[in-house]
Amino acid sequence: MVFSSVIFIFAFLPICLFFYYVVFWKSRNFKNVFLLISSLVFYAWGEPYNVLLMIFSIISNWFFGLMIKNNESKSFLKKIWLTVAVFINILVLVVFKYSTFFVDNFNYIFKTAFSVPSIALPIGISFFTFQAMSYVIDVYRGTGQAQKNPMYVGVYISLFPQLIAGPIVRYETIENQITDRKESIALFSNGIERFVEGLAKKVILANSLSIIADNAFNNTSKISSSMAWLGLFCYTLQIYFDFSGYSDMAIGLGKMFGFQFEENFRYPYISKSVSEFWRRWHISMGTWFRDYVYFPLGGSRVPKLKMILNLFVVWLLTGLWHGADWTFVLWGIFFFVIIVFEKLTKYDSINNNRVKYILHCLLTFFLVMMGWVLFRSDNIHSAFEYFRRLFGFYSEGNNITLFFLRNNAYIILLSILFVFPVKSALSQMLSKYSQLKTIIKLVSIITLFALSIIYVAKSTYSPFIYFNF
Amino acid sequence: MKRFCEKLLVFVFVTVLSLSMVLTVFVNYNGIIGSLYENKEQLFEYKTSFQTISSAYGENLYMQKEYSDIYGSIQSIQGKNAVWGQSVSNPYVVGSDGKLYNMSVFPQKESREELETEYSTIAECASRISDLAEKVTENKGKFLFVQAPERYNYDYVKLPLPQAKPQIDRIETIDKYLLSDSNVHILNLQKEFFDDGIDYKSMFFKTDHHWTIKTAFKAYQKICETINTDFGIEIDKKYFLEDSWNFRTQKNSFLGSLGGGVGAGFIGKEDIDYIFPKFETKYTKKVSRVPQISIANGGSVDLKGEYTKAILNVNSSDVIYGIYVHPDVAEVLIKNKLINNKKKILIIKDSFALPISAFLSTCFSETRMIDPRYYKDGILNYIDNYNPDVVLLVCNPLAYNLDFLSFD
Repeated sequence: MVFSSVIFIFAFLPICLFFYYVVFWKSRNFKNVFLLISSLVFYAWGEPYNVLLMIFSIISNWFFGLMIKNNESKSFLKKIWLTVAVFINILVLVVFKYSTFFVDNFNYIFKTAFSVPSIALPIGISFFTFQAMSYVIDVYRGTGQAQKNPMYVGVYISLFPQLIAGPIVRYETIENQITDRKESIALFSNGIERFVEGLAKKVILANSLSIIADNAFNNTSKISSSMAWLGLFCYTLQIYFDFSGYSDMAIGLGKMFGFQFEENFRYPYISKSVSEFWRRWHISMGTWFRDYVYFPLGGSRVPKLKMILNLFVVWLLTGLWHGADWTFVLWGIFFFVIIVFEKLTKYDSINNNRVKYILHCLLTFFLVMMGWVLFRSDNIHSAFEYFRRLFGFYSEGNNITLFFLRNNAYIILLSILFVFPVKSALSQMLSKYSQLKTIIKLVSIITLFALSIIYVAKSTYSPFIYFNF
Repeated sequence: MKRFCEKLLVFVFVTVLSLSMVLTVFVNYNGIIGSLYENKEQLFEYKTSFQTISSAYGENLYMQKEYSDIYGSIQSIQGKNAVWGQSVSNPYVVGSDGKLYNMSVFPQKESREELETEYSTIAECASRISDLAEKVTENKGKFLFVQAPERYNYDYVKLPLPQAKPQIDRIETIDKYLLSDSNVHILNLQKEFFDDGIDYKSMFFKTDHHWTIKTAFKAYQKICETINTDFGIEIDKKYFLEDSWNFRTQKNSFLGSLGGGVGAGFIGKEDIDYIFPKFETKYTKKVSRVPQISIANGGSVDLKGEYTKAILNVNSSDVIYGIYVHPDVAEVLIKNKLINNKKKILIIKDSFALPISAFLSTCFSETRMIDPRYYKDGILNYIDNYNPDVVLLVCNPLAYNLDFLSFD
């Protein structure tokens, strides 16, 4: 189910809120059982039979957690259970997400003809599998307690606000909230604000920008260079508003049910280096790879060559995490190269004056945009064709670029504006007039909500980009 | 103040969500059930069932139309001349004539092979029309192929998107193939209207792909004249003189299917005409009970009374083009009790023929309508059994395809 759909906003959500706050108000356990059931329904709505995979993931990881805990004093057995748990989780990912990719490449290299049954990719599999791994690893490390009751593991892994596209909530950060969280009007109201902001980002900005981006990327061989640049620029904005919009909605929904998730985005397009960009973009994934892959490999407190190897592993996995295609592998390696360069030259810590700062921001933005070409293209061939269009001075079809610009000028301008921390700047400006600020905020949120509803009612099915991962 | 605003926001949010849900379920209950019934196959397919429920619910959201209109207004305020609906690659654009068109951003230029395929398809269409005409002639009837004009005309309308001139003029091409067939009488309305100096802009609705009701009335007059002069069937002139009909214009009340894609706020509603006879009428009418099945197999819904009751589809709650007779049904049988010429007309048609059929029903003792998209019991057999005096094939150039022109 998509957060920005009519069925979610005008049926699923009010029903959930009614049961959560009216029917099961007095019992935390009932509330959790209800959240688990509604999360499974939420998942089954889009993927009826894949919900079995979700249930398997919950039960197996609950079991592994218990086994690790039961062998707390036997470090060898504990390690074995962790290894089995990680292996099973990765196996699930490999079978459902990577098997076709691996077999196709094996066939290509060794001229064989193995075939794999075509398996539809379960939505959000990378997200919930990473969360499941976070559970068993945190239990192993002792930073989180193993749950005796599988329901709690179920709530953690499948909680519908963050189930399909994150943020990837690490177990240690949410463990206590599962059993002991406090709902309040203030938190609920704050949750509504975040949800509405995210909804507006998705349905007003991202969906409109996607029209231009899709037309450019779906017609690579026909577009002019100007259209290629416009399409890429719009995709750069689209993916930000789409994904950060989803994260806002997830964080907002979490708050409505008393959960506090960590932030997933901090205005990534104002970064002055690619390393900084990755500290601001999809923070939960970056943190996951840092805590569960990069640090265990030794991080940067190792010889330079080992550090470069560690970074290579992390970025290769980051690329592959996003999709089973060479475009994603190349995308990961692209960032690996840049980040290694930045680390070796200490580029990230150079103190800049304002002009240099702006130039560095623009350069970072440019490099990230180039990365999105690889990310968005269907295959390597299309990606290189797109690069050819970008830098090849193709002029035929410039009137189509003008047509798109004319019809989306306001949306593009608004999108550019909201790439910057406008909200906090306004909040700062009004900090002396707290009552006025409160009223303006209320009116803005209600207006944004009304506008978003209009767009939701009109829009057709438009899933979030990160649903594919 | 902060606490109050927080409570107010929670109240507004929860109320809007809950009220919308309750009103959608209770007020639009029939619409939801209707949508589910229409897609019952997908509903009972486990992979698509949830999606079907989501669509049915979404389409019938309380105040959906109002939301759509406001959405259109928001687009209009931005000064747009294009709005995207279902398809990313096919926006609705406003042409230089102020009308809406649904066009491709990157139109495919047909390859030589594709052009050859299209020519051969049109040739096959012509051959099928010839077979149909031959069957009618065998049964001592008369056959008239009525060609509705093309709505988008490259020479008259400029679009904000670059469009290449169509490589095939479908009307001209099919006419060339049919020219030598003496069984086929052709009424090329595009040519007729141009010859009469009718303003191209006024022929079609602004928000719908159909011609206006007044244009359809002119087409009806042309058909009556042709039947009188070429077929020797005497239709009393009083039935097709404008003076014999009431023309009532309902101002700013019609939003066609193209307009529905962008919302009335974007382009505005337009006028629609109700044309009904001044003379007395008395009808019985049978319409396929199951829209996509013939009356013989699926039964009928029966109506009777004067023109405005029996012929106009008065049950429709919206102002729609299909208010004339019934849109999208396999078969309609109309008997005019006050016409004693014992002449029978069979109209094989697409939706362009709806108002024409309504008007023609005033001239014949019996009028039957068959839509080849839904009627699958064999039209050639139907002609053998029914023996109509006149058979009209009425369609627009987009219907020159093998799916539509299938008469076996």
